[in-house]
Amino acid sequence: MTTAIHLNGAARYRPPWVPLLWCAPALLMITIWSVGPFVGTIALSFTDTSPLGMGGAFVGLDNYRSILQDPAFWSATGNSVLYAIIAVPLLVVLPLLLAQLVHTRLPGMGFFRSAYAAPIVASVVAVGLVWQNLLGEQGPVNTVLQRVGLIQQAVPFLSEGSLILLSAIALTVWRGLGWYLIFYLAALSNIPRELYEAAELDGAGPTRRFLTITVPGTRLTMLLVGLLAGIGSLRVFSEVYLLGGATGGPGGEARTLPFFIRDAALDPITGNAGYGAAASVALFALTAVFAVLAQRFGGERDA
Amino acid sequence: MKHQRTLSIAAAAATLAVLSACTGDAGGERVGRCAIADEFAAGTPVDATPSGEITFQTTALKASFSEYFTELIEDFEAAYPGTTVTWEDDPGDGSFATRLVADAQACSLADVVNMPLATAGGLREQGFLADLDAASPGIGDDFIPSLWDSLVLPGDDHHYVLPWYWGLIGLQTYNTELMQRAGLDPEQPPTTFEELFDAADQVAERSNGEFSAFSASLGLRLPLEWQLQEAEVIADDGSAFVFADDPAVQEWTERMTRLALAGGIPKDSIASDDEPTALFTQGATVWGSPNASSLRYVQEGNPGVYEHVGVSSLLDRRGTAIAEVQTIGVPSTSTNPATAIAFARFLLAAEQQNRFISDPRIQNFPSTTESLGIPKLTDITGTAPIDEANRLAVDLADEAEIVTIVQWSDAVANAVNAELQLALTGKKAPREALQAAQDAANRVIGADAR
Repeated sequence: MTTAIHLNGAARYRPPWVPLLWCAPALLMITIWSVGPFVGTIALSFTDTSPLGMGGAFVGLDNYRSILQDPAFWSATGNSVLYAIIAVPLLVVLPLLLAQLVHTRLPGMGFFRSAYAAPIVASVVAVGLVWQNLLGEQGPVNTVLQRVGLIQQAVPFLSEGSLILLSAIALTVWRGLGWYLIFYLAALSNIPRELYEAAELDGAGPTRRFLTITVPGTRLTMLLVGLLAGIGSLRVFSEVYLLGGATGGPGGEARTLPFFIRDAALDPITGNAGYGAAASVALFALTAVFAVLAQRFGGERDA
Repeated sequence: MKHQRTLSIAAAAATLAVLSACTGDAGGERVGRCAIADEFAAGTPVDATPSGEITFQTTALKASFSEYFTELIEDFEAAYPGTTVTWEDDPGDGSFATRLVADAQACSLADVVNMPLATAGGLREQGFLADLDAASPGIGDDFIPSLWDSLVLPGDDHHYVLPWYWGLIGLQTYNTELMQRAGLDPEQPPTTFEELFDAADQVAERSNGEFSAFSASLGLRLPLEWQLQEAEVIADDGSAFVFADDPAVQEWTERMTRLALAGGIPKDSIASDDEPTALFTQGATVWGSPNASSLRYVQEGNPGVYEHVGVSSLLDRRGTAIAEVQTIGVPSTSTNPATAIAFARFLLAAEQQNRFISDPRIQNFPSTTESLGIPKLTDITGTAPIDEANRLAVDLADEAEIVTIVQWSDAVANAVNAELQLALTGKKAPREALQAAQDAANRVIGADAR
C-alpha cells in the first residue's frame, strides 16, 4: 500500500525549489567549511605537498603505505583506541549515576548540580595546569598517598607514558561528567514518576528500580553520550599535551592520533601536509567505524 | 528535476567563479600562487620614494609596548609624507608559525614581519622573503658585525632578514646557598659542561633528595648546549643531522642520563615544557635558566632565593656567547616594496633601537653597534644578581654570533626530545636513544626515506 502525500495551504502553490533556497545559506556554509576542506584533505593525502603549499606532486597511495608502516602511527592509534575504550564506558555510566544522585528533590541539590557542571566552563588549559599541579611528584595526590602509607615513592603520573595517558583519561572523564550529566538530567525528567512509585509498591529496591526503569528509560541518551564521548576521545589532544608536554610523554608514549598528525606532518616548516592529510583520513575512518558500530549496536537494541 | 539541475549548474558555476578569482594569473614571477613584487624579482636596488600603505607585524609586543610603536609609526609617517603604516601584533603562541605560513599561502603576509630565524628559514627556502642585500645595498652596515655576518641562511650568502633585538646564551644562574649545602664552592662555578655535570652529580649525591641539580628542560637546552661545546649537530650542507656521532653530544647524553637516574633531575621536568625558572624560583634546583632575563621573575617570585643567586659565564669550548635573535623580514610578495624597505630600515636604525632597548622592562640587546653604547648597557653600577648578569652579558655581546639551525623546527625538537626522554627515564641506553633521536630528526626533515 502506498501513502499519498497531500500538500495543504501555501505549500500547494510553493515552487519545489523554494525549500532548497531556504537551505542554501546553511548548505553553502557546510560546503565551504566542512565538505570542501574534507574533500581537500582527501585530495591532499595523495600528494607530498608541504604546509607552504608548494612542491606538491601526486604520490598515489604512498602516504597511506607510509603511515601503515610507521610504528609511531600504530602506537598513537593504539593510544587513541585505548583512550576511547576506557573513557567511553566511564563517561556513559558515571554521569548517569551522578544524575541519579542529584535528580532527587533534596535541599541543596541545586548546588551540587552547578558544582558538577563547573568543569564545563573552565578552560582546558586552566584545568590541565591544575591537574599537572595535583599529579606532580610533590603534588597533593602523591603527598596524600605517601602520608597515608599507600606508597613509598611518588607515582610518576607525569613522567611515565602509560600513567600520563591514564591521567589524561581521568582528566577527560572529570571534565565530561558535568556535560553529560545535563543530558542525563533531561532524560531522567522524561521518565514518568509513576513508574518508580509502582515499582516501589511492588517491592522493588533502589538497585532494581535503577536497572529496570532508569537504565531502559535513558538508553537512547546513553547511546548518544557514548557516541559523543567516543568521537571526543578519538580526537583528544589538549589533555595529553598539557600533562605529557610537547612530546606526549617520554618517547611520545602517550601520543594520541591527533598528536601524531601534528608532530609527524603539520610542522609549518618541515612538515609534509600530504602525510598529515593521510593520517587525518585514517582518524576519520576510525571515528566513522566507531560511529557506525555505536549506531548498529544501539539500533539492534532498539529494534 | 529540472530545477535541481539548474541549481546544480548555478552552484558549480559560482564555485568555479570563486576558484578562478583565487587563481587568476596577473603575470610576472610567482611564489606559490602569490605574485612577487617586480622590484624584488629583478634583484635590483629598490630606490623609489616611499609612499602608500604597508602593514607591519610584530610578535607579542602590543600588550607592553603599544606606546613605543605608535610613536615610532607616527615618526615614520612624518619622515615619509604620504605613507601609512598599519600595525598588527601576533600573540606569538605555539601556533604563530602555522598562522604565518597560512598568511604566506594566502598571499597576505604583512609587508614588514617580525619572526624568529627558524621560521624565516622556511619562508626563505620557498621564496617568500626578499633578498635585502640586493634590494637595499649597505642595509647591514650599522649592525653588530658578528651578528650580521652570522645571519645568513643555509645555501645563500645574502641576507633575507635583518637582526632586531636578541637574547644572549652563555650564562649560568645558580643558587649559591644550595651549592654550599651540596659541598660546592659558589666562587668556583663550572666553566664547562663536564664540570657542570661533575657538580650536578655531587648535588644528586649530597642533597638527600631535598633539591635537584637542574630541570631537564630539553626543549630549552638543545641544541644550544651542544653548540656551546662546538659539537657537529648538522652536516655542513644542512642536508642531515649528524649529532649522534659527535663525542661531545654522546658524552652530554650519557651524563644527563646518569644524572637523571641518580635523582639529580626532577622527574616531572623530563617530559615537561616548563622553563627551569619555576623550579629554580621555588628553591628546588641549584641551577636556573641560562637566560639572564629570567632573574626578574626570580626577584619577583621569591626574593629569598634571589638574594642567593650567582651568575657567571658558561661558554665551554666555544668561548663566545650565542645570540638568539628576533628578525625582521620583508616578504617578496609585498605590494609596496619601497615603503616596506624604508620602514624596516627606520625600525632598526640605532636611534629607534636605543629608545626601545632603554626601556627597563627589556632584558634583550639591540642589534646595532651604536646601540650597545647606551647608558643602560654601559653604566651598570648595581651589585644585584640581575646587574651582574647584565654586566657579564654586555661583555659578551659584541662577539656573540647567531648559530640557529633553521632545520631544528618544533617537529625536529619534539622528535629528538622524545627519544632522549626515554634515555633519561632509563628506558633506552643513551647511545641508542641518541641514534634514534637523530634518525627521527632526519625523517622529519626528509633526510631519510620515510
